Amino acid sequence: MYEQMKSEADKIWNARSNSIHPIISVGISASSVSVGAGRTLARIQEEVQQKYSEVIVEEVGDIGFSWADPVVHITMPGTPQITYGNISEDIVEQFLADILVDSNLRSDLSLGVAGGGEFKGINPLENQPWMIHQKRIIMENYGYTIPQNLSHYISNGGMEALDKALNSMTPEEVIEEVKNSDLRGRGGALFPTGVKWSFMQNAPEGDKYLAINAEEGDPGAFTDVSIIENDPYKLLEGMLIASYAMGCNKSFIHVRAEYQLAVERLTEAVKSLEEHNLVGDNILGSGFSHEIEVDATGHAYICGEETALMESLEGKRGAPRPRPPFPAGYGIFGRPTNINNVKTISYVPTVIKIGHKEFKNIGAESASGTALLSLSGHINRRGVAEIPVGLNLSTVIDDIGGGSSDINGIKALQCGGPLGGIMSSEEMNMPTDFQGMSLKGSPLGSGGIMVVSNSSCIVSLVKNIAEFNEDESCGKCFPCRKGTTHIVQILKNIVEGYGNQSDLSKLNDIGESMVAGSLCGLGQLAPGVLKNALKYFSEEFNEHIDEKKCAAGVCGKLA
Amino acid sequence: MADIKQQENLVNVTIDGRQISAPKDATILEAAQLAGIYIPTLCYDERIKSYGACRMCVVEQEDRPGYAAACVTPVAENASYITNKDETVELRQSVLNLLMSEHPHGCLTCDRIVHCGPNDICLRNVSVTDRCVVCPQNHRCELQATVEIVGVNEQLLPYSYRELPIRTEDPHIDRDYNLCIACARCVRICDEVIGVEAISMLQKGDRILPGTPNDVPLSDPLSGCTFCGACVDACPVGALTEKENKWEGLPDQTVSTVCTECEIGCQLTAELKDGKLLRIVPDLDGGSNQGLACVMGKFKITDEALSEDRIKHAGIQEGSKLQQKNLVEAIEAAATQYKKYSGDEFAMVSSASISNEDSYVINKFAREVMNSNQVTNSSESLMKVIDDNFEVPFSSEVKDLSQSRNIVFLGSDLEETHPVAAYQIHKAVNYNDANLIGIGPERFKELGRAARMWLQCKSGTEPLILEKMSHYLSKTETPFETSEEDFIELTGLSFDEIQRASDFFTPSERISFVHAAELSSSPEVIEKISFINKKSNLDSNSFIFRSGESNSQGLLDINDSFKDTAIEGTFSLDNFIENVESNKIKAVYWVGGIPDISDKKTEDLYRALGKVEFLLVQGTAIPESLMDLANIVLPQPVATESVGTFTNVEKRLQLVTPIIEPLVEADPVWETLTALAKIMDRDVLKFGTSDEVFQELASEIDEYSGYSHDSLRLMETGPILK
Repeated sequence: MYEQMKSEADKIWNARSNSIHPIISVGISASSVSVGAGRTLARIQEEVQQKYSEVIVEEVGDIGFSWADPVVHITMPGTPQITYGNISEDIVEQFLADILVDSNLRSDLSLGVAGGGEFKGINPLENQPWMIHQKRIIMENYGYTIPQNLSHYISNGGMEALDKALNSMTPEEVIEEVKNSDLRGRGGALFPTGVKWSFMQNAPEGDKYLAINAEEGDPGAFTDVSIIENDPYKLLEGMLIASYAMGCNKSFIHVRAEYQLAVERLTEAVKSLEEHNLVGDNILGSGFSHEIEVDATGHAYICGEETALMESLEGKRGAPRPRPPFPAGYGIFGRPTNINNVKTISYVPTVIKIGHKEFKNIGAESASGTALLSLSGHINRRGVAEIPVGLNLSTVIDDIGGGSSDINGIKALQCGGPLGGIMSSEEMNMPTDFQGMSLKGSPLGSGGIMVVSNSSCIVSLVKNIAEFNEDESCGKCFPCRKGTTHIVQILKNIVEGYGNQSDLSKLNDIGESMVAGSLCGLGQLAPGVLKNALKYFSEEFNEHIDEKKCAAGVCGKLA
Repeated sequence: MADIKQQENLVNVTIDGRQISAPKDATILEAAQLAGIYIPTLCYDERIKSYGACRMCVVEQEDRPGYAAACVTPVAENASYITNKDETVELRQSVLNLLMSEHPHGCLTCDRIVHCGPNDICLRNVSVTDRCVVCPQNHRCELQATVEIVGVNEQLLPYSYRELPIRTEDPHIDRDYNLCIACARCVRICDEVIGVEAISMLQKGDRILPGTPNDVPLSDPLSGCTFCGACVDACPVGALTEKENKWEGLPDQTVSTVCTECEIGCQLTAELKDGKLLRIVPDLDGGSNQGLACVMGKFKITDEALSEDRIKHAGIQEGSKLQQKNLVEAIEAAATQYKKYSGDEFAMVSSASISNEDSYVINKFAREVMNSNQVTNSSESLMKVIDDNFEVPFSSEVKDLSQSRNIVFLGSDLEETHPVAAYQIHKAVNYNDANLIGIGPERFKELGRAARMWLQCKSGTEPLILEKMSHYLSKTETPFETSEEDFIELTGLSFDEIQRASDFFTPSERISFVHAAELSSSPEVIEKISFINKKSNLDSNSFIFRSGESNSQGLLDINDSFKDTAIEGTFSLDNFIENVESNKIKAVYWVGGIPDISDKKTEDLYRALGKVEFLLVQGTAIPESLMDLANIVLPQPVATESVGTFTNVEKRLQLVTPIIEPLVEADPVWETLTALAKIMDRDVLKFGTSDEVFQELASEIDEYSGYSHDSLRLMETGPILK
């Protein structure tokens, strides 16, 4: 069954690769559209319709270079694909004329060429400083395939792992393989995925569920949405394998409705899987049946907390449940449930395909595999990058990220979102590693790295983050509900010049009560950024309090 | 869950160094409570599921980092918990400090709180909205008590008052969300137990507060509030209060009594001050209600006493006009009349809402003073059907309904007729994942929402549906007699729908049949349930409720004890009408109003009553049409004014204690009849008090023996008679 599917998919993919017509592909994602990729695409389509009727125009996934969006890939018959950046709507006419009519490859706009070798003065893409350190497992298809096209996915190696798992492995073997691969939860907690799955094995007869946490509420985190937008089948294949291993008959994807394009592509992908009997009864002739539900819900940050996510899926108010009972015993609608992050599950096809040994070779001792990073803030090359765990953090910032976008240089890295932490740029010469960064006080969490330049005020930044937490606290447990409010109040006083030294001990006390007393991760982690900011940048706080001065000139009243 | 189930499996834990055996599914808090160890709580309420939000109950487990919320964490075998380490107490104090920054607390941390009254000038100049002494909940507030016990002496964080308008637009309930601590107890009890979902938590973060949809008043249909008052009882602070007597302060007396509005008989505590009723609080110890009540018990218990239609004076018909007389005159006139009749010329009809004592003396008066066996009550036919079909119509206690896993519901809207029983169904659905299937033409609002499926059959075809359902459930081989075509024609439902409903039930677990019967409903439903109970191989039990009667069980027990002396077997309302029509019955003593029977029968009844030579009617409120026919009218005290026992649907014997001063000069039925007998020189009734009546009754009826008013008064809750 799989073989037949694969050969049909190959036909479609090969026909595309061997096209006798030029192919122009535009990377479309919510982020690229926000800087004009949609208008670029429309302009290209217009031009092609009027002047170049033989040219094929495609909408592909986003390659992850947000700093270079809109990104356009052009493949002339018989030549390797060349990737161009910053193709705004107004240069499209000239750009197409140069390439299609004058055979001028416009190396000035090119980012690189596919295929590994130099081509007419254009460097290979994979040797570029921002690509050479990357190790793309999850992102392998980004920018190369049409995200919703199942044939593209299958022809590029997709569903091989599903076939292998379903038809030549027992569920126990799949769990064992995932356990041995040392894959860990990429939501930030790094719990061994295989072990988590094994909790589901002892569950009683009846419905069992897998829930995918695609809530991704951290400001400055956009890796999950990138997976769903650019390669939804990767996630879906992982879900099917995971469900097979745990015996789940249904899975839910809890995705925020604001991710419009992601929801669209995901829904289309699920539909296509249903049409090809990759979701439904007796998948690939294995006897395994499964159903997938996409739940697009109004965004609330707290719904990224796993028990609140379950409440939300049940149609209730998104607020955490106490644990125990744990989801594996009493989950959605009281049935055993396993909840995984989008990234975690998206590794699963690769783990099964290449085996645990090879997967373990990637990454570091503390966590195997790669880390998907969202680079944002004062950095030249913002976007999504995938690196082997353990790559030096300076390499990430300087080579992949292209260093500071501010001439004053980098002051700090704020990692792991509003519930993560912050570290001084002086600590940057270290491996990009989950545990190591946690020890520094700036846990990688779900992979968001926000670069903070010397032009920023840390107190003001911490206040902004505190305001986010205050807004997004669900209000259920008392320490978090009131603690987040008081932290904001005190920080507001400080940036407005009314602070005094006793405020710092108050902040510390409130923070401690929240960590010790809160019901869920939000309250327990909310004081993290503040605590580490006080550790690394205490002089900035003191300056605001004692000298009523904001050196960065950000805090209006103290500038 | 609130109930600690009796489990054979106990686990050993240590709390604060004390060895404790606790049920293995108990939480740390429940285990501590069993051992009498205090752990502070704010969001915990034993009537609802634990929530884990206030973090007051945090405790430490030895050799484990961090804290566990005792209310939601189950005990672990051999674990050792410490509830009162300094660090733990400090954490509680700091959480309370956070909480007090949003709750008016001027008096909370002031050592003068014990000296101050509401009208005193505050020496610290605390603004009036921030004082406990002017809060309706002062000294009844759980936050106040918790702050004192945990020991918070100073408020460290800046305080802000919410400045919200106080919502006083509703009847019975005032809402002041400036005082709310967002523990969600009101929302949870309304949602999980009452099943109404009138309110929910709105907003998030620091702006979270309970409220109605679109902020409408509670009385708006959009909210759907039934004013059961459970939210008020659940509120730990002064945010939700009873509107009536809100500012009266603490009671100087509390009286335990029982509601006689329906046959559940909710046990209530009446709080009184200077003899005036301040408020009603349902008893957590109440065997049948466990801290719950409905609008009737909570807010409307004095309505009957205060009713505009209340009969206030005795009256004698003179020249087709009712002339006001005093009680003695009226009773003397009645005695003169009754002396003229005896034997079957006399009949006595009562309602099923009178006390056991009244009921006993009624029987005694008719049989021993008037020598007539013609004693009936207006709803005997329904009671008879139930009595004929079940040895015990009620398999267990009302609260056991909450443990059911499979429930079939039929009849009238239980949420209206026996709300507190409906709450137990909601509990079963919400806490026990029970499968509820409704059968009947109308899908009721709250129960309908809780039901997995509602078989909306044509009226009167419920027995057929039940039969088909039991057929599926018991997997009977014998063919079903009705063809599918006829079945659809009759019921409006297909076999497939019955099958689907049956498939919801968890096999291997008992099915509970809950039926809210009415006088007008079909006896076949009861017969069918009884048949399934007794004859089919299905494991089932039944909960049969009777509408509009608060003491039908007591009446049944007492009538039964007199039936031995009956000459002609049973006597029903139909027999009564017949015998009046044929001029056999000439004098009648009628207690209560006109029963809820069919229009045709009501007409017959009125025609018959019109033919009676001498009719005495005694009641609290009597319809004008009946008054017009009466020769003598006597007032009657309402249940809240008099003492007496009632036997509820579980056969629980409960003592009703007066909670208000009598508003009308009236004697209860037993006393009136005793006086009447004395004047008639038939000195067989010698009762001085209601308790004396009960003691004679108890000596006559085995099940009731061994109890007295005094012994009942001393019990936490009424005993269930065997």
